[in-house]
Amino acid sequence: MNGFWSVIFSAGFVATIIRVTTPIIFASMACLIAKKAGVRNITIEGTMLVSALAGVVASAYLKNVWLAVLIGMLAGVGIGLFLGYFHIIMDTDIWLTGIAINLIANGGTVFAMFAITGDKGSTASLASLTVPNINIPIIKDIPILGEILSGHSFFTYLAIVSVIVMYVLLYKTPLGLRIRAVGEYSMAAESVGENSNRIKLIALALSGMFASFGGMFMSMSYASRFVRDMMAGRGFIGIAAESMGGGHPFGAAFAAAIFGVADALANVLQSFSIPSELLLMIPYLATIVGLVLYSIRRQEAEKKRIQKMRQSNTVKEG
Amino acid sequence: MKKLLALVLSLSLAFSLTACGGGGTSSSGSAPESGSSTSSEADGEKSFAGVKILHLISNTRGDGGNHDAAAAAVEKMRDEYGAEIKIVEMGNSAADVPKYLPTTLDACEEGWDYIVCGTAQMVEPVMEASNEFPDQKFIVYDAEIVRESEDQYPNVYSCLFKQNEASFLAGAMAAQMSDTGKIGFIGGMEIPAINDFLVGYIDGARYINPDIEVYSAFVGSWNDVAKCKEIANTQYQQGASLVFPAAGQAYPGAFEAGLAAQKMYLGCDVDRSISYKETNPEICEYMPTSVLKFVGNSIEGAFLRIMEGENIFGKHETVGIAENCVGLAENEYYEKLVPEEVRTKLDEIKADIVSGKIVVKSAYGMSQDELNAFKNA
Repeated sequence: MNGFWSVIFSAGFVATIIRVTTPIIFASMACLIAKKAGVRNITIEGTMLVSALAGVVASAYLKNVWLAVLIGMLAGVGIGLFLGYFHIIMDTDIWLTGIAINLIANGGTVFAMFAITGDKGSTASLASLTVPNINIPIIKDIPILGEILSGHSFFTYLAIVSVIVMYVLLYKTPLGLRIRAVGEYSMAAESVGENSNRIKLIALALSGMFASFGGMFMSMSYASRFVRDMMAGRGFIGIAAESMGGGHPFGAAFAAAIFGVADALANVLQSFSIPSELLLMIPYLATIVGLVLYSIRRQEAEKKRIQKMRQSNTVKEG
Repeated sequence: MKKLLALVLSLSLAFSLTACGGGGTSSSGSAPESGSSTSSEADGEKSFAGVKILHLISNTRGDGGNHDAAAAAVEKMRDEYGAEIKIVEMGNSAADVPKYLPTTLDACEEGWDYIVCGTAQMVEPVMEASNEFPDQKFIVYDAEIVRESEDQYPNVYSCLFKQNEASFLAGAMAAQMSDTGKIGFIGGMEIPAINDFLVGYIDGARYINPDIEVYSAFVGSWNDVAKCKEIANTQYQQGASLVFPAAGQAYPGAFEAGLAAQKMYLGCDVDRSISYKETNPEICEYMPTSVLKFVGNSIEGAFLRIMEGENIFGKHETVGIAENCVGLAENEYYEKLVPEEVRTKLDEIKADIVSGKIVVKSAYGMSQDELNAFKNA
């Protein structure tokens, strides 16, 4: 086990956690903003897949990585609005629509990939570009800290920024207030003249945008090509992270990091003759444990609230 | 309300039934009529004219490995021998796997002369279909149809690859070239064929250096490139000088990690340098060889034997280095990156395996406990 500790207590391991966490943070932010507007967006996994492919294909043909990121982003926003059109305007069931979009994305990306490259497995034949890694000037020269903080993908820094942006957006801007108001009780928001459908559509478009960053991180930075089904459930884990985070951007990011640790730990432990099937369970087990803990906490808070109300009521009556 | 419910239920039932059958063989209307002649009519000049072959892929095409090679062999039967073929991709998602059996049974009713399919996932569907349709001929690759008695499944030919032999060579090569005494292995999922790669790899590495440390890990998916990359990163970080990813479509992750760490990695199933040579030649600079499984050769071989009138059905065969069905890719990078004395040693080992002097351990027939004990020894 000597090797184990030397791996765990290395700067590289922390960098691994940051890398593994990045797509989950994006997914949880995508889920969070939609949920704040009162829409349960389960299409994040599918949105990530579509954007990942759109980004790769665009970069191969346009030969400009930032233009490709823009196109991938538009694809994500498009799917967010697609979901919004059906659920909000046409009033379809959110779960059925969400499942349908995920399935479409799953098969559709393979179909599109085959139509473009003639290969159903991966976009190996496309000379696609990758988003550059960023070395932070002064920090990169600090011995350990530099290895941990510097040299990550553009998207990793974007993920950190987006958590802060999300906080500011939700709690410090008029739009955030509107989103939360619509999500809490849309009739109340409408009674003061707010167009709740419009707000929900905006939230879903933003949700699609965040998901698209997660998708493009996977195919244009983490790996340098698109492989079918390459999200492997990260979109769904992001949804779980959002729930565990208690509906707050920082909480969601923290929960995402817990998944990152679990996932990174599972990779390392595999080298030490612990059954792999047990270890591959860790991130998902962490999801369930986390959700149970969150639920217990919430129930107790609820109990306390009710008790308080009862007490104040008896005081009044007395 | 009750009527509506009944209607919905019956509709959904009908739909799910068609979905099951339709998943693979949707064009059953255009399927050939049964009772066509078999190969024996083509004497002298080898021909498969009028013979109908169905290839059921328990995946989609584009896996870049076994199924693609098998499909290419089936297409060769059409292009060179005039057979009538159809290739059906059944997919490999969780929703697709339960459809394998009904699709296989449906296919048996369509009157194909030969049904080609492969991998462990098709073993049970073929066993069941074989019992129900004793006249239907099956050719199964990369899996074993286990017979309790010799006359069981007389209509099935199955063929298993000694990937452990090719993997033994890879392990022996990696051990000789390693300056750290540590090498890595990444499997896609823990299935027998992948474990067989692993066992051969460890066995070969220990043959050269009994004290070598072999890290092994599994991605848990055939597509998760990112996870494969992280595992490879970890193994390189722990000192592995070379990583061998036998992980389906996830393998590029290991290549990218190796390229970043400037350490070596191996290709699997087919010569991966071919697809990288044009688009990304620097990837090839760290890939001394690929561990090959010539699935196409074995299927083509099976059909050629049928054409010659041999009855291969009711048999199970394992093919390896001696039959030229597995091996290492001895391409330009092999010449360039592998030192000559290592290559000479590998040639000796190869000869010893063919002559039976070296018997490579196999994961087939190993219990899980034995496998774990071997891995941790």
